[in-house]
Amino acid sequence: MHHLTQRELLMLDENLRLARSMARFAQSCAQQMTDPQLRAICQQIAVDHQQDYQTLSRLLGAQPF
Amino acid sequence: MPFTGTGNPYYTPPSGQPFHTAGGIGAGSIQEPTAQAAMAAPGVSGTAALNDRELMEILLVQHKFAAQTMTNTILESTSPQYRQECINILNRDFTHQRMIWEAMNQRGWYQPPSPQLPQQQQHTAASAQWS
Repeated sequence: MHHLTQRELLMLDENLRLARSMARFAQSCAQQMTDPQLRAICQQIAVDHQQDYQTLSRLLGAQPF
Repeated sequence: MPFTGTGNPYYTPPSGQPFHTAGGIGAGSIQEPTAQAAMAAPGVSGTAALNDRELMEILLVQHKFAAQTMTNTILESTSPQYRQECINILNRDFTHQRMIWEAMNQRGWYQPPSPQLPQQQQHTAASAQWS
């Protein structure tokens, strides 16, 4: 893989944290909401952000340290 | 110079901590924005649970912020693979934002401002001309 610049690594780190936070918050919302349709939306969002987190983790893992 | 983030309200950068590694998250002090944490936030009276509307509003704001952050990342990227992955994530953010907005709009929680009447538009234009 193309080596990422220092700036890209910093932004990747921030996006990784954001993806994890959003996944956990959406999961929390899915458990607390009363409307079944909204719960389903939150569940889908949580799953997608977990996948985003894994994708970004793979990119970071491919970088030499 | 330590990384201080770019305005993420949920991220407190760890001092002297390395980047995340693919195998797991570092020991940085991440403030998880769980719904429970939001309830216990200073300024929120008591521990009354946030309702569906309030949680959806937070989700919507989160996605707007995430889309802006990811756009900056894409604009700064030099790696084609990294850029493409970020574009894919950004497109999902847009899809989520639309889903959230539509759900809120259907329930009357997010109404777009009604268009101005022609008479009001003329008045506004006249005011602007003489101001």
